[in-house]
Amino acid sequence: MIGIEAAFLIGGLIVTETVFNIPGVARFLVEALRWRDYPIVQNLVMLIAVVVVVANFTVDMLYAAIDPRIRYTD
Amino acid sequence: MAVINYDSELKTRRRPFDAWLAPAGVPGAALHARHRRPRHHGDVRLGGDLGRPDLPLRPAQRRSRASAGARPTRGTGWERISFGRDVWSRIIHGARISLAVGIGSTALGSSIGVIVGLASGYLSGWVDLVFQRITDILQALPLLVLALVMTAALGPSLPNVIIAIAIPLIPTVARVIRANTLALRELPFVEAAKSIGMSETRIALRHVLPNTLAPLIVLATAQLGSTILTEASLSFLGLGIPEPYPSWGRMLSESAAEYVRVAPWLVIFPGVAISLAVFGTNLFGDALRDILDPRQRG
Repeated sequence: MIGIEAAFLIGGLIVTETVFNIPGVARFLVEALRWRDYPIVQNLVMLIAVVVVVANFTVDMLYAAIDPRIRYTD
Repeated sequence: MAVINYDSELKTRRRPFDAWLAPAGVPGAALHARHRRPRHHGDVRLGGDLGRPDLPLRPAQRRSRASAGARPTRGTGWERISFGRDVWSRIIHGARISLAVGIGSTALGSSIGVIVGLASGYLSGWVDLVFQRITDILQALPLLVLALVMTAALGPSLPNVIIAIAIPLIPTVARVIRANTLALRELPFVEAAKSIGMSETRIALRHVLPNTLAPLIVLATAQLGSTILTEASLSFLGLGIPEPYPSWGRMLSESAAEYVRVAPWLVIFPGVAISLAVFGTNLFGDALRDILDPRQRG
């Protein structure tokens, strides 16, 4: 649930950073899109994807750490 | 989400007018009905006079359009003006855009999601593997980021925005349909269909698909609100529907920057419109879920 929330929060970040004029990653992305600066867009999208994947992975690992019934065996 | 909706379906068929049990859906549907009501001048069908969204609703309202930035007047109640455009008219016309994008992209995303999910769940094997990996990749990106990048890649126009918002919806729908298909595939009626010599395509389309429809409809209506919100966000960021078309999101951003202090109603009312639309859609979705999925009824 928290993992999904992380993805959702980054989506919200885009609007939030624009509204409050915070010079963050998401606003950088929007600016890059406006100027059609595709290399920057590619990298930022990659960065966001990595953050989301890492967040999801961490949450999955935490599940196993917290709940003894869940165990990943393979 | 591997819920088999068989007996729920039977129950629904037995009592088709369970809508009475879901009174919350009524204001939801009403909110939507209200958006479509005002049709005072000529042709206001989708695409009809979208080129002139600055036209107010009634001739009586048109008169006071002279003064840009006028306060809400008492006579008409909802008269607000920016750049000589009547905000109330733009909100009404923007509702059409919002709903067109919302319904259009939900429909498009769900249809593709169903095809992908059904193929992937029913065929399994390498088809499943390939589709699931693609889905994984799509799901690694947040909805808005993907929609943003897609609009930027396709260019801003109404159909492109619909496509851009539809793409992030595909993986969610595909996952649900796949889970349902996997569960349904093992059931006796599929085996029976197979034993009388039905083709795989026919089994998938005529036996498995109808049984996944209830969760699909629930999911689609739940997504409707978020697609409307995504469209507003896209327009807010300046990457949504292009200029002559009225869009709630852009009404927020273009007036918010300069006029919040002097004319707050320019910002408040598009915002209220977005909230009402999403709220109405969510209520509608909840009611629909109560009707189609009796097991979740609280």
